[in-house]
Amino acid sequence: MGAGDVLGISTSGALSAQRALSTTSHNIANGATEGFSRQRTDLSARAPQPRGNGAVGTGVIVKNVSRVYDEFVTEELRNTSSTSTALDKQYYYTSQVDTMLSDPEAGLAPAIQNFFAATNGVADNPGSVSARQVLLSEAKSLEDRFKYLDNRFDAMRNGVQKDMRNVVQNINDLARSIADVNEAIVRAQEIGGTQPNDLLDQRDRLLLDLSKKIGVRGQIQDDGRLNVFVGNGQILVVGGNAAEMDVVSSPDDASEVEVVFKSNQAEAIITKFLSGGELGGMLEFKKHTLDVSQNDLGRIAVGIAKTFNEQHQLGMDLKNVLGGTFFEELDVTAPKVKQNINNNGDLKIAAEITDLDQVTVSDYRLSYSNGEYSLVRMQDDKLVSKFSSLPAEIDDEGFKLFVESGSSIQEGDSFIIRPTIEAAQRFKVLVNDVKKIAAATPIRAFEDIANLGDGEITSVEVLGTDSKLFNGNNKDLEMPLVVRFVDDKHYEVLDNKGNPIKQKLAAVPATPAIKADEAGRATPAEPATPPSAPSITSVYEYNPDKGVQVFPTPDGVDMKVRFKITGNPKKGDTFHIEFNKDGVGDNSNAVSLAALQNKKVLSDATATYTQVYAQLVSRVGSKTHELDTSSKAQQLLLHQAVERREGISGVNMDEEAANLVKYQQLYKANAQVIATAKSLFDTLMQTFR
Amino acid sequence: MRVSTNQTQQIAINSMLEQQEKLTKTQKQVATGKRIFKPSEDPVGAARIVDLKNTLQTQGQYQKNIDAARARLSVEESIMGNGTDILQRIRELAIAGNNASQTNETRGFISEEVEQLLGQMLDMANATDGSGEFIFSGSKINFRPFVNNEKGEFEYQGDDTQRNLQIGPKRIISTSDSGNFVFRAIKDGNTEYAAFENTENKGSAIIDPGSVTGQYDGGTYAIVFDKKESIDPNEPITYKVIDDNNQEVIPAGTIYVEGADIEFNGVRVSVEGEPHKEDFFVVRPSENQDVFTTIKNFVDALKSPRGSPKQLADLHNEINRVILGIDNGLGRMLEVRSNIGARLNALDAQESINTDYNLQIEEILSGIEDLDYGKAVSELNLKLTGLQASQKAFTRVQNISMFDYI
Repeated sequence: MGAGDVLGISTSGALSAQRALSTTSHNIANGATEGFSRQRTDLSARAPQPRGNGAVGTGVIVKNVSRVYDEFVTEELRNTSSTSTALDKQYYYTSQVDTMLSDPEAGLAPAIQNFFAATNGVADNPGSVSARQVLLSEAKSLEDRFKYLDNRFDAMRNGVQKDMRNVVQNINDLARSIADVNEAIVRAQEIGGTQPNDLLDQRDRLLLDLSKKIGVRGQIQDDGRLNVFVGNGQILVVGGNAAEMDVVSSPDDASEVEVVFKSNQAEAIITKFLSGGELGGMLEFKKHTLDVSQNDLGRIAVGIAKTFNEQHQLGMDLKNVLGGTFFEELDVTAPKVKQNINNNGDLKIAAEITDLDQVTVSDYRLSYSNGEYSLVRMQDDKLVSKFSSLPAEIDDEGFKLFVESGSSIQEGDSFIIRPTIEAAQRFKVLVNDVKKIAAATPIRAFEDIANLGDGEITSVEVLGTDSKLFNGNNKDLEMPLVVRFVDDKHYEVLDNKGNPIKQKLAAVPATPAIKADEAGRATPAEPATPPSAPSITSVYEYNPDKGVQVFPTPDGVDMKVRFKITGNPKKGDTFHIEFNKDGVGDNSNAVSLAALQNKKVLSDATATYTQVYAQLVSRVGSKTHELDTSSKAQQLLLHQAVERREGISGVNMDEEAANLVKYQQLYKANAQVIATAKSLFDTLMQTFR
Repeated sequence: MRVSTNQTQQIAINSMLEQQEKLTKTQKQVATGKRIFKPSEDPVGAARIVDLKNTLQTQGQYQKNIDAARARLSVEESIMGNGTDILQRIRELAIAGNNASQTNETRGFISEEVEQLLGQMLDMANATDGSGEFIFSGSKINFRPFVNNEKGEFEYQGDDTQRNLQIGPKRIISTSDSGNFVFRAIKDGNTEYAAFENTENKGSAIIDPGSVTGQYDGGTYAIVFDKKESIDPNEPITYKVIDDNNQEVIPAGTIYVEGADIEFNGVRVSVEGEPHKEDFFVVRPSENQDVFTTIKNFVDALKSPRGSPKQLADLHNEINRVILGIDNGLGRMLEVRSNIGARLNALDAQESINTDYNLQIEEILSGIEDLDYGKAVSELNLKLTGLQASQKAFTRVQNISMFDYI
């Protein structure tokens, strides 16, 4: 062994120590760089020189500078943060709806309450114009409140759509960057022959950022390039090429948007395959909260308009006219049907709500294929009905479809049906004249003053104004009606010409009814009562102990009015039902209208107006709460994933400090060895001097 | 496990952020006294709040309705009080007018007073409320209930409708009574049947309609008197009772005893005075007669001059009927008044039920909505301590580094 060996060895040692020190200082310098993986200098003993008496070491060599990195942990971090941002974004939007609905000033509940307080005001004072004016302005306020809430939903929808555009732009930028880095990595490998650690970190970082925008899958190729997939397998990045995504207005409904994937000039809608990341969160929010809540608000609007109208139409206004429609008939006007812009047929379809209790908060897709229409409920993607022609009654979903115009339909044509999405926006007060508020009942009942008995007529109620009583076409059956007692125990019902009404109505066939039993099975139609032949007697029996409900008569005549006769009428006593002309002080219909506030008229007669609104509030609240909880849980998982990654790849300053000391010592020692070699050499030279 | 320096910092920062978030919420709770700010914080509670607030608002509405009903009923009640006074005065005057000591002139004085009272009575029936609506015209509030038409009849222009108001979840109460019921649909006679003298009667007989015995069958009967042509002054007066088919109910020849009960088919009447041969009285089922007509009949009876025993008998018969009519009118007013009283009581009862219910609702609402301060304040302290601890830990951990030693 010679001094030359020693010098060579120690020089290799000093150089390696320098290299290790620079790696350590790189680590320290990047101590706060996000996505940085700490690097390690891999030292290795140089190949020994064989000598006769054994192999002699030749020093140290830097084999590689590698990054400390775990593919599995990195992927886990990516997936976790994708889910986490999705939940955060969804929570962010949902909590906006949550706050909006609960606002004591802006919520629907106070508007409903004020509206009914005003209705009660009319009941207290049916003749007062000012009370009626208050009712009209409160009704207008209710209309405004519905519109305000609906506009907020629309604003949120626009906001989400704008955000979607931004996010998709981000995705495109990130995809482009990944493709660029891919190329840089390949080039660096070709030139240096070693792994470009920091470029790899950069690419991982970009992929992580991308996964925060949208759920992606990455796949490393043998040549070191990374391919990125979105949706159900669309290749967003392949090598140095990046595809593009875009947000376009939906062919189903121009007010909605779809995410499309562009490749080779073709655009494919991939919205429903997307999940994860901010974009996934927005889509979830739109589907599970925004559309549903707006539909639900619309359903409440339809419910209020319909039930209030029904009662209002049973009344009579200040002009002695039957009550009109108070609010717009939303069950007819609100359902929205959009034909797909790519449809080949010219068929236009319209929808009408037939059974409010069955109406869901979902939208529907109707598509035509193989001569058959299929209706899919979009909320749960369930096929709810198949039929071959229109019109069609979709009883289980509470609406019917019919042709509005056009006649041709082509294979593959489709339509979107949104039963209540526009109802809140269309909620409208139609009554604009205080005199047209129908506070009175359209009939009045009285005992004839010449009656000898003490019989009383009570419990006057109108069930419908579509009976012949209110119909100007059938003069005989118009009011007044008379109930006349032929003796103490028998009475007859006479029309306005004094003829028993029975014979007049005998020819009216009873409507056959197919009824569903409680379990929902259709029961056999009850045999329709055959029109009974005009009978000679039309006198009904009267029991003074019980009194009698005059309609329907024992032989089935029903004038859709109800009144009871009680007490002991005497022979010849008469009881009259007539049109309540000038009965402007009658408040009975206003009382019935006011009572609607606390009557369970919605959701299969299980909920009041405010209760259905409370259900909406609580549903959104629950959703927000659920998202809060799960996003917090996901946050925890994310922290853990970050921790795991940091545990492996993160820089620990103390460790680096120790390394610094360690490699400094190494350098010092090697330098010392060089000094020793020099002194050896010097000693040798001295010998020859 | 290996920990990176970044991570130790991040953990400390995360923990501080979390503590601060919780602290802010508690702080907000303590500052406002509310437990829930957004439905998501307690979805079930939030729905309950909407519902309960609606209930409270409705309860408030019931209270308003109770106040309105009470005001209306009180007005009606005081009118009924005045009406009762007037009818009682008329009754006194009727009894006085029936007195044998009255002359045509004194009867004239009485008639003037009664006419005054009739006017007052009409004014009351046509009273209006604060907004100019007629109180007793049922739902036809813009129509004067009682008008004296050209035929001299009192015509009713209202209807039978009663105005109702909801004063509790399941309680509806009438806040008015129709003029028809209060003043008009009042049975005459003894409310089962009434007795009339034949206007052609020549004798001085006066009929007292008496009272019902058992079940009156609603038939119309005539009590016909007879007296044989005889010079015997003690020749008895006889009578028979026939129905409207001329069938004898009490056979002819039954001896008339002055003031004794004549009973048949549930009817019991008595006759005083001296009927002539062929004089008769009719008993028919009671018919409705408005109280104004009753008073008017009294005025008319007082105004016509009376001299002969027959004329006086007619007067007494008429006044007897008037007294009955007034009694029936008084009975109706009493009925209406006690009915109003019952309704006013119901209002009071419902009001106290509503108040109790209100308190309960408010209590439940407060339980859901309001903050438990004791709990919240101790939580606030706990969270403050937690945050302080996190901050201390952070500074302590950050203070040590290997680099300090090399």
